[in-house]
Amino acid sequence: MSDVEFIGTTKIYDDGTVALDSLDLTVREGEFLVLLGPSGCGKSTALRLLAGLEDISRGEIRIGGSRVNDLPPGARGLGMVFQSYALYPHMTVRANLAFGLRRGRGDARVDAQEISVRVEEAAEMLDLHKWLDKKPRELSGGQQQRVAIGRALVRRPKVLLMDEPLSNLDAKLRNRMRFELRRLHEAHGTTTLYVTHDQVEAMTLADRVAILSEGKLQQSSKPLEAYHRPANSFVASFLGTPAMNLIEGAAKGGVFTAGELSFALPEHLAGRDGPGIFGVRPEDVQILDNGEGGGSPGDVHCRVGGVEHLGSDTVYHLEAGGNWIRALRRRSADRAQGTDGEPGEEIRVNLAVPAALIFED
Amino acid sequence: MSGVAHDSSGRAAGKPTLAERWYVPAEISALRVWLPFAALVNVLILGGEALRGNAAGMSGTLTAIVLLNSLYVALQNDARRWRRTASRIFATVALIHGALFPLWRDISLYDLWAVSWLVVPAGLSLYWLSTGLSGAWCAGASDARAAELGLARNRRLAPKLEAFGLHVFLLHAVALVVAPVVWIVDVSISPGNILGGAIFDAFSLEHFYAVLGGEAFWLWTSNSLVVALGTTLVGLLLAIPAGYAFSRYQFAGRKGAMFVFMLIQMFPGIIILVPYFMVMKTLGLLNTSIGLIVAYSVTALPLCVWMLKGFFDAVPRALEEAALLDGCNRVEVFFFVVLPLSLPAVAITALFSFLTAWNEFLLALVFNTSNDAYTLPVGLASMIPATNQLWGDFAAASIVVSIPVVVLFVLFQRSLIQGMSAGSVKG
Repeated sequence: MSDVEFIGTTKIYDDGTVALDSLDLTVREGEFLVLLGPSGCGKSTALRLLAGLEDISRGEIRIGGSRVNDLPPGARGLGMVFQSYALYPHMTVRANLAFGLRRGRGDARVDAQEISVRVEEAAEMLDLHKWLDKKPRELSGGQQQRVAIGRALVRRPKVLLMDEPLSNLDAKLRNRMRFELRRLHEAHGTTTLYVTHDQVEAMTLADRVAILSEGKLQQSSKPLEAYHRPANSFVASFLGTPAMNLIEGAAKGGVFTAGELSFALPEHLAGRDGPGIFGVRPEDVQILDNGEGGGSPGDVHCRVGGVEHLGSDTVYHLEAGGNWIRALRRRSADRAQGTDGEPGEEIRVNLAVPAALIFED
Repeated sequence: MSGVAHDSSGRAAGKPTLAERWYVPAEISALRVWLPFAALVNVLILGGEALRGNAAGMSGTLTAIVLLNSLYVALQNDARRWRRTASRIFATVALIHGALFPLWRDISLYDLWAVSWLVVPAGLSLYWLSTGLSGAWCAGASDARAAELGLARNRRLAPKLEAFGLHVFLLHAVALVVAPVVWIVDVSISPGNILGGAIFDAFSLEHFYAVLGGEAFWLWTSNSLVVALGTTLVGLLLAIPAGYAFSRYQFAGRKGAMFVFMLIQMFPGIIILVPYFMVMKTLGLLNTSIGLIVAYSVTALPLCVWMLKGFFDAVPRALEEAALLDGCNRVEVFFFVVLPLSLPAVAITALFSFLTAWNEFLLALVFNTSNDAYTLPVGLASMIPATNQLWGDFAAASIVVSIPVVVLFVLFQRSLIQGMSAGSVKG
């Protein structure tokens, strides 16, 4: 059993800042869990508390069922990949990989023979053979990254921790390493906790994603579920590019009103009543041709404020009754409908789509 | 000298072009910087002559100053024909004065150097005012085309002139540093007890034999070694943990302690001399090496701690965290990761402690009054009492004493540079 449980885990710094507010979260054995959130949301704190690099203020953390609050970092059976890689600059790659194994004591003692076998294994797995006798500074960023992963894995950790491991790589390498990380996880099945602020990493890597904001857990679910059924407006706005349209207003009698803008709600939301935030993803906004048909109650008349051509998609920034609405159109659809939607042009969209949501907060 | 044929009124036809307005030959710009500098050096030389009470030298140098200043003034502002004429006259007079000046006296190396500070600037001025583009410019004969050519030429020439000026300056700086060393070496290899006299005129190793053959020197050396090595060891043992603690841990009084460390550095050592003496006397540590080791370690400690703290600050925390996760405890983290990365800083700190102890004079003089307990600096000083000064032996001993210092510096040069640029070291 090597699942990780955060039970009411809280971190309050000396100056009173609450970095993590009673986090309840379980990472199941073999699961790849991504902690996602903007900077300062507490995701790194959660990881550092688990690693033992900082003291827990309240609550506890269990690994494999046993409380680890007061265990030193090295005794928790963890491997960690740091954002800066934190390779020991004065040691060769081989020594970097072996360092943790040499420190093993008692049950964790590893003899010299076994150390060299495991280092070879790690080198094999991460394609590091050529670099084993070099110092970290002679390696490129991507190679250093591999060494850092190797160093974390060579101790056969119960849980693998990664703190924004890809953020120092260039975009191309990042995509490749992302794929490799997923592949490694599938090969080893090590329970993994991965911290990032990058939603693409979260969506692609995670079995499950836990979204944090201001020290509080907002939602933990499968990535696509978080995307399609966000628990609140924060999650809704944080996941997805361009971000979801969020219109603050009030629902009454099947009509949503926000300032001068008012439109009919879709059937599944028609029963809602009272203040709320109406949310619809840009790709779900239906762009209608002018003049066509008499219009349905969900139609909104907008003025095109700006157009962004991304190649595969086109993003329209639309102004309607003091609210800005983003609408996204695939290129193929674009062509079929013939209109480019020049800035200043009047355009009609339908927001009353089945994917629309109303959040209370 | 084609420029002379032109009339300056020819330029009045149109407004001067941008190039014409900006163009000043690089030589003239250089002279405008160098001439005041040369005059300043001559003022220093004048001071030297006054100290020597050399009336002829003083009047000669004074004339040189006046001439250089006149030349400088004549070269200011716009090119005018009369300026050029005046400048050339001043330069010629200066050159003749400089050439004649040494004739009526013995010239030493120093005099030759002094007079070259008149002759070289004057000669350069005269030469540049008479030839090429700058000559034409001074004659007021340059037109737009010549100005453009001149600007292009300036780009090539100006860096060379700058480099020349810089090297002259640097050579003087080097000479200033090396001169005392040359002098003491000369004294040490001159037979007899002579201070001064011609450089390297005779050679004898008698003083070295005298110093190295005497028992006293070796006794002082061993005292100094014990004290310096002891200070280094004690200093490091205290400064390394202290620096690390200041760098990594938050504790009550941390800021205050750092500030006090800085504060102590403000006071000259002589202020604490008497209290130190009382302490040493009470503890019975006068005339012992331990007394000096304690005193020196404490004196050198603040700076060592600050230096080491700065270096430890530069070791990324993530490295320590990685080591913690790799199963190290705090002490192992320090010895396996932080210390190996900080060796340059440790080296510089060690060297600093060693040199402080090796060179210190005042405390050693006051604490250790017995002949057996002298350290080298005190021992050396005892060689030049009021009567019967052994200058030759003293010089030889000074050189021998400096050798370990020089050797240490050469050995640790790399580490020293690394250590001093601590902040730039990436983990």
